[in-house]
Amino acid sequence: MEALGNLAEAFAQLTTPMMLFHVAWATLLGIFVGSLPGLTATMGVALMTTLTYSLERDAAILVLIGMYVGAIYGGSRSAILLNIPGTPASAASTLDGFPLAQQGRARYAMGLATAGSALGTIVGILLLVLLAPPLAEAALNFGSFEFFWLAVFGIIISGQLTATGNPLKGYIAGVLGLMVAMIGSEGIHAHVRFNLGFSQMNGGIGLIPAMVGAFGFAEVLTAMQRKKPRIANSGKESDRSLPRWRDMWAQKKTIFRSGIIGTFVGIIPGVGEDIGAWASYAAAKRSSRERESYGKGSTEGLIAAETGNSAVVPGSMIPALTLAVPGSASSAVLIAALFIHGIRPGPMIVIEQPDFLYLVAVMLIFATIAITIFGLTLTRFFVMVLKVPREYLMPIVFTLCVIGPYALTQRPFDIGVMVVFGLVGFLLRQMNYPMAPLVLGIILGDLLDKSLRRGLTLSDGDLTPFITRPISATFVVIILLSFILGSASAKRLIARSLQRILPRGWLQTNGKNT
Amino acid sequence: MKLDSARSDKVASVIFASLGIAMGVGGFMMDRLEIRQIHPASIPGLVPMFLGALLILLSVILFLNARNQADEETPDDSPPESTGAPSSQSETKFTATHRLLITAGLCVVFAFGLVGRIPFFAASALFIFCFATVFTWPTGGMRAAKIKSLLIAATIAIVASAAISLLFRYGFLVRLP
Repeated sequence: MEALGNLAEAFAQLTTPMMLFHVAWATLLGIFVGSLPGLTATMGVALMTTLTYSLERDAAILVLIGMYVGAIYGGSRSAILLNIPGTPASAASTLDGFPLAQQGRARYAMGLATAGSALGTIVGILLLVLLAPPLAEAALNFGSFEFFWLAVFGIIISGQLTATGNPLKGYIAGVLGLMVAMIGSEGIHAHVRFNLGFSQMNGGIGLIPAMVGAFGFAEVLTAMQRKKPRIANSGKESDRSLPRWRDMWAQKKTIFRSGIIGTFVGIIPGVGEDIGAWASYAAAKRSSRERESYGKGSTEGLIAAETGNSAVVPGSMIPALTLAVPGSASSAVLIAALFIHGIRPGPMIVIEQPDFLYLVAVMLIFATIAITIFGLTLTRFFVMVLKVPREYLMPIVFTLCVIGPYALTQRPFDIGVMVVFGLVGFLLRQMNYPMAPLVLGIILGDLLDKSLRRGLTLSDGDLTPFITRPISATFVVIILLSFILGSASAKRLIARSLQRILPRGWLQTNGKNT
Repeated sequence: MKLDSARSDKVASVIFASLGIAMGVGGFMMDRLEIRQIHPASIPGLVPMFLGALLILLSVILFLNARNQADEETPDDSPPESTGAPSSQSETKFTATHRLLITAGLCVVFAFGLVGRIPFFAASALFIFCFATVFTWPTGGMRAAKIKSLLIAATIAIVASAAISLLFRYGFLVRLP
């Protein structure tokens, strides 16, 4: 009941004409950003952070959340019409979205994606309101030992889940991020490390220039390198964009399941929307009666993917707000933005600013309403957006990448940081190194460094408390298990053991569904 | 060189190992602040040393994996970018590598060569104009098409750079570089 009261209060606080105007334009811009291949949600949020620093706190955060929700949803447009995900989050949506478009049902597919995204976000918001306060209260018991393992856990799990094929590259990306975080004045004795003779590096590498480079400039290079996509048939005249109520009701289990999966994937540090979509898609396919239609234009598959990726957005806000550990790359930027606007995310948020969790929940609701309205009414406009030539769009995006980080600190040095991170980020991506663990490493580096050294000081150099305290021990077991289960040799060993135990042919039939 | 291959992994592992050694040595040599009588377990170089060692270890595993993978790999004889019909002027003129290098070159020249040396409005307008013109310039000899391409690029360059400059200068009160 207290939560409902807080939500009503937050709703009243945010329902002003100016706030509604902010959420409308930010979400619309977010859909625009997300729908264009080459512009991602993280890039949109990072650039928008530089544009909103002069706004007052609630308006700025509302704009960023509108951009985030809009961009994740907007990725489905190009996934359906171009067979290219506008953002990585919509990769799973191409599997059934594009075949639906080829069948002349593009508008209906976009309508389903809209409904799925909106409902997924709603499920995630409910879980945010339910889970965030108790999680923050539990985290109040965390000491240096536990925070150290939390940071290690974030890097390991993010490296493992976001790497395509080889988790080793995910771990390397995470360690590189941690190394970047070692640059500049350290948090215990204020000793300057690795500034390479540049006084501008005494304060460390700014997260926003690094993110704008790794997600903005690198995306510009990727977009210009690849072939120009062609738009599929955007729909027959008879094709409707408003999903039928009975169609949506038939998918209630899929929506609920995908919403929960997406939210929990969002809670896992540094994993992100694409994994949420794939996990929801796989779970829906496994339990579906019409699994043979998956990949050929299944409405159920499209809804599962879209519900899953959208539910990650509120899910990723749970650790971001309560532990200051981002659930996705975009929420990493949001954490930086929160600091800029004077909010200190972490366990103390429930004591210092208890109403803020509910403000975020209402902001997410506003953004969800906005994507529903825009998504169902502006179908034709978004088809036109996809026709904007990249040759005109990308130089404008790069100009914003240059001026955005500069505007925050007024230091030309940050333009250099952006360019270096863009070039290195592009090369790493081409070599299949995921960016999420790198970003998480930059964010968690300070926490890991301070927690380890503070813990060792408290224990007088003794490592025992790192493994004997109950929460630390739990983290150690989870980390070891995820590390072992993620290794290729362990997977082979498990498969061999299962082959001995289970009846012949079981693995072949069930393995196909995963 | 294909960037996602065993060979590039080997090169990367050497670079990462060098980086790991540099960070490990840097951490080891770092001031231990004895003069401030800090606890020896809280020396600033502790975590860099640990990270350096970890990156060296991961690099060795990457190198060994790449060596095993290289034995299994067959030479890639598929044409790099010849499949499918080109769909725009820039794709007719340039290969993917050319497009990438031109984009990277223009962006680096803009960020390091123009910004801060000439007024931001002029720098961004020049950059957008050059970028758009290079990639949309018609390959044939039609004069009207060339003039049209130049006009569109110039209009977009002036409008976009004016909008961005005005927004940051007067909207966000930023002193432009």
